[in-house]
Amino acid sequence: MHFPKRMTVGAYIITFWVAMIMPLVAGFCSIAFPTWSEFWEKVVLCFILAGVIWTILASVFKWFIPPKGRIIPITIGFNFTGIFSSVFLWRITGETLWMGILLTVIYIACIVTGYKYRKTILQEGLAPKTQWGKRVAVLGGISPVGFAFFGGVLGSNAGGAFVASIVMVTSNFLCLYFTANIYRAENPDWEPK
Amino acid sequence: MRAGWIRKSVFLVLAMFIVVNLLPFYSIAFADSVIPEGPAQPGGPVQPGDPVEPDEHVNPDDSPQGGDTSKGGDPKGGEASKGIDWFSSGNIGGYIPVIWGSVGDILPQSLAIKNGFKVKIKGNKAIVKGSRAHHNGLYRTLVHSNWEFNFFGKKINGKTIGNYIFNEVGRQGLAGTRYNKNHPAVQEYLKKYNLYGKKAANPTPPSIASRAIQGLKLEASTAFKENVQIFSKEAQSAKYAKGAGWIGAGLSIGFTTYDYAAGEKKNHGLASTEYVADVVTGLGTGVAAGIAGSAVAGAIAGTLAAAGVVSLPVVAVGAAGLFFGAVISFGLENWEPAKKAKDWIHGKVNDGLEYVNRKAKDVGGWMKEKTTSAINWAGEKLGNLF
Repeated sequence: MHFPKRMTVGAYIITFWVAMIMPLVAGFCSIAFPTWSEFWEKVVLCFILAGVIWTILASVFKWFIPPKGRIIPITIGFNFTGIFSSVFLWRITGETLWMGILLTVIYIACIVTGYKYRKTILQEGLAPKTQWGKRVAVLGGISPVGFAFFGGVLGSNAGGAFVASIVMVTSNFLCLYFTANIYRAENPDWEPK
Repeated sequence: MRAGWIRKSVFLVLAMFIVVNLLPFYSIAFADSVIPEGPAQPGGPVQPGDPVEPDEHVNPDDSPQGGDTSKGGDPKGGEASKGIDWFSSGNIGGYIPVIWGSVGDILPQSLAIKNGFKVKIKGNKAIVKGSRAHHNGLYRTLVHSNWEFNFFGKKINGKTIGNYIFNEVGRQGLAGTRYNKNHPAVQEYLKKYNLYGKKAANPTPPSIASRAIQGLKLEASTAFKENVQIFSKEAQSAKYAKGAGWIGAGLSIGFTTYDYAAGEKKNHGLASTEYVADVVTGLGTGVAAGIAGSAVAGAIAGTLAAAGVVSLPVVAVGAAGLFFGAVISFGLENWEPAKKAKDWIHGKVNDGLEYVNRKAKDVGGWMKEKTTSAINWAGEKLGNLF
């Protein structure tokens, strides 16, 4: 996989904040539904502040040039999508303790699995070899447009808990893949076989 | 012999969709320009003939047990005040598109993808490499199974279904097929194929901004073709594979129709401008959320691939699209500022329809008046003659 070594500061800032769109949207959901929450508003503002501080520091000291500096902070930031969408589901299902524990366990399991089997997940994602990798790749046949359209129909028809659980599952799936992507920070020139 | 009954039942289902989808257009013709005001408010003057349905206006404070669930009330009582519609009758409307999508949309492409297809360019042909349908697990399972299905009293075994898939779907599948590289639909597909994965290996990748715009444009343009221009050639030529868009649209209309015919909004009825306005806005926002969702997902995937941060497989871009589509349309339904905007559009559409309707009636009245007066005038004149 090619890793572009040269990169301008502006391009990095754009990339970072484009990657942060999903966590911020999930963060907005965790604040806004079912009622506006001031606590989660503060949490998301802290997250934005941390992102701004990181982009300034990284731009000044050129920390984004090496692969690890470029990939890992974006991965960490992106993984907040899973946290915020879990909060979204937790709040919409009535903030019960058992739900909180369950969601935390699912999230941690995704991150740990993503990190532990990072090479396998990347390989299966980009060029599936095993039965399960192919099964997941088959879902890609729906195409992003198809997925988004179902999301659109679901979001306007289904109840809040159902939408929130769909959002939770998709963001945890993406967190799993992004965490596995740390492998590419360690081996920037790795290519799927 | 070809299993003709499958084709017949598919046509039957499609015909039902068409009939359901035409209902809004019929109802414009029959629409009554006077919108029913709905049930009388508690405390208001109740006329003897008014359709009073107190269950739909239960105040949570008055009855802690909540409303009658069978009539759209809230079984949890106070929950309704939180602003989330937990048990909307459209819930089923959420599940069915997914099931339909997984059957109608995945099947043909999955036959090729599952065997790890690759696109090779030779001259002006794009050749899809991969084994054909009979290597597929689904086909093998069906053909060698002893399954028997009962279809309206007719027994059909797994082998028939397997052969049908091989004959009908396998031929349309991607694997082993040669496509004209210059055909617009093929080019769009190849662009996507290159954008999200393979071009990351390109030694001179395009700039971040151009990649982001490319991803956005690509998803938005295909979304437009697949979901909005539902009777366009692009949507039709791909048959089952790209049916998702207009079938989803059909379902959206179908469930709104149910709401007005027998569900929550029964008191308005099908022959109301409210119903047509709901169909138009519901369809519009659903499609818009889909387009916006896939466009944002495409932009993110394109940007991150150009920066060398991550190469997302199509399924991950799809997951992001699902995320955005669901969140955007959920926000439109439930977040107050967005809902106000949507309701404003709904109101405007309704006003427009009512206006057109009233004008049509006015014109009719005017014509009638003129005709009668002309006849009267003619009668007078004729009477004077004799």
